[in-house]
Amino acid sequence: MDEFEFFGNLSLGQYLPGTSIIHKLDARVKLAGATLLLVALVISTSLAATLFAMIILLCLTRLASVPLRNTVRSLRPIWPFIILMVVFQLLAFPGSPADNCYTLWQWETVRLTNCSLHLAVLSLLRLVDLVLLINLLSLTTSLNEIIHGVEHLLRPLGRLGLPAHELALIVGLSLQFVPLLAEEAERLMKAQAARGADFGRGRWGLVQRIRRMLPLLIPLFVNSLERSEDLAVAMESRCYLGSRGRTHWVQLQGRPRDYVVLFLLIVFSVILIVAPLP
Amino acid sequence: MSQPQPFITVRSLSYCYLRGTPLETPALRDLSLDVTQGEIVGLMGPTGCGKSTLLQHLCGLIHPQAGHVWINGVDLADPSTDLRLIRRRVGLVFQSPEAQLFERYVGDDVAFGPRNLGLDRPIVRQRVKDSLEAVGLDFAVFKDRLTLTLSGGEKRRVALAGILAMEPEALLLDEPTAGLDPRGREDLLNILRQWQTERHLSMVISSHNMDDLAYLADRIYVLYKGQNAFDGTARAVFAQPMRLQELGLEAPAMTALLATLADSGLPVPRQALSVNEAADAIESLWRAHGRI
Repeated sequence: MDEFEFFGNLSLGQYLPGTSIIHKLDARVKLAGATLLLVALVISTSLAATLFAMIILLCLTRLASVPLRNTVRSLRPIWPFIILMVVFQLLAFPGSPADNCYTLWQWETVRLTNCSLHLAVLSLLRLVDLVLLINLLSLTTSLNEIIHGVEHLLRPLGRLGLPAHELALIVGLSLQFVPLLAEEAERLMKAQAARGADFGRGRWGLVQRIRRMLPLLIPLFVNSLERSEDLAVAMESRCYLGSRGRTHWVQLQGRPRDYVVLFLLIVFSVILIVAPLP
Repeated sequence: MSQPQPFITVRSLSYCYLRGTPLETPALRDLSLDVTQGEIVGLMGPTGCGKSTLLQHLCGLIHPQAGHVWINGVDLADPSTDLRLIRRRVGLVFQSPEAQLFERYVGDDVAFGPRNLGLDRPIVRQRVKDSLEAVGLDFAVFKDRLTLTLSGGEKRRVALAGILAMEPEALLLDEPTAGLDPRGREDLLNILRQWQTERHLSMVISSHNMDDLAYLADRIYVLYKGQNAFDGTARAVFAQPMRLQELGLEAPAMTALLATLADSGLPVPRQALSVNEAADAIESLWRAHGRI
C-alpha cells in the first residue's frame, strides 16, 4: 500500500458509475430509504435483526456491482475506532443481575457478562452496517442526484420557512469539496515529504503524525477559503440569486419500481425496529 | 574516458491510478528513460501524458507498481529501500508550488527542508541564505517577510528556494514556468541554469512551454499516453515539427519559423533553438541574397 494513498480510501463522495437497478433508482427513494434504515439500525437492539440487515446490505452492494474490495477498504480506516469501542463496551457495562445478566468470566475487577458481550457485538455489527449503508448510497448515487434529491425532499419544509434550495446547495458543495480537499491534502503531503517531512511510523509515530498535520492544515485552509471565494464570485457573475425563479434541468420522476422499493424499505425498517428477535 | 554514469535509470515502468477499481486509469506504460549526471532532461507531452506521475516516481513519492527506477544505483522498486532517503537526495518542485507555502515567515518556510535533515542551526541559516540568494531574493530583506504578503512570482521563488536549500543531487521540476509572466519566466530559467552550472546536478524538467525546454534541455523525451513517443537531443526533437504536431504539441516559435522558411525552399537550418540562432540564420540568408 502506498504511503500517501490513505486519502484514496475515503469512500465519501466517491461515486462509481454503473447501470445496476440501485444506480437507476430515484435519488429521493435512496435518500429517504437510507435515512429510514439508518434510524432503524440505531434504534434496533436485536442482534439477529442487525445481522439480517448486514446480509441484506451485502446483497444490495453485490447487486449494485460494487467490488467487495471497495467495501472492505472503506472499513479499514475505522477499525481502530471499532476495536476500541468494542473493548470499552465489553468491560464497562456489565449490567445488573436484575436484568438477567450473569457473569461469564471474571478476573480481579474485570467482569464479562452476557449483557456486555451482547452490547459489544451489537454495536460492532451496527457500525459495520452503517458504514455499508452510507458506502452503498454514496457509491451508487452521483453528486447531482444527491443534491436534487435533498432539495426535493426538503421542499415541503419550505412552507415553514426552511430554505430548501440553499440547504441542498450547501450539502452539494460540501460533498463536492471532500474529494478535492483529500486530493489537495495528498498533494501537500507529497510536497512536504519531498522536503524531508516524515509522516508517521517509528516509535513516536502518532505524536509525530499529529504534529505533521499542522503544516498541512494551514495551506489547506488558506486554499479552500480562496477557492470558496472564487466559487462565490463565479456564481454571482453568472447571476445566481438563490432559489427564486430557478428551474431545474433534471426533473425527478418517480416510477412504479421506486414506490415499490420505498415500500419495501419502510417495511424492512419497521421489522428491524419492532421484530421480537433476540 | 568512461561513459558518464546514469544518475537516474527507468526501465519499463508502468503505473495505474486507482488500480483494482472501475475507475482505474493507466498513467505510465512500459516507460524507460536515462538521465546522466549533470544532464538536463526535458519531459514534454500533452496534459495527462504522465509527466507528473513520472516525476513523482523519480523522487520516491510513488512506489513503482511494475518496472524499475534506479537513483544512483539504488533500486526504488526494492521494498527494503527507504524511500525517505531518496526524497532527501532528489528534490521535486511541484506544479504551482506557491500554493504550498505554510510557514508565517519566508525564512522558516525555506528552512523547513534543512531542519528536517537535522542540520545544525548555523548550517540551516547558511543554506537558507544561499538558496534565497540563488533565486534572486535578498536574505536580509526577505527572511522576515510574511509569506502571505509576497507576490505570485516571489512565492514561486521562495518555494524553489525551499527545495534548493535541501541541496539535492538531482532536481525535478514540474511545469516550473506555468503561469508566470514573460519576465518572471526568463528570470526563473536563468536561476535554474545558473544553479545547474554551479552544482553540476542532474535535472528533469517537465513543461508545456517548448521555448523553455529549447533553452534549458540537453535531451528531450516526448511522452504520449504514458509511453515514450520519441526522444533525442533538443535539436533532433524540435527538428520534427510534424511529428510533434501529430501528438498535439508545437515546436518552439523559432524552430517553427525556420521550418516554414525551409519548407518554402530557402536554405536555412531547421534546428535553431534560440532567437539568436534563428536571427543569425536569417541574417546570413539576407547576406547571401545581397540585401544587406
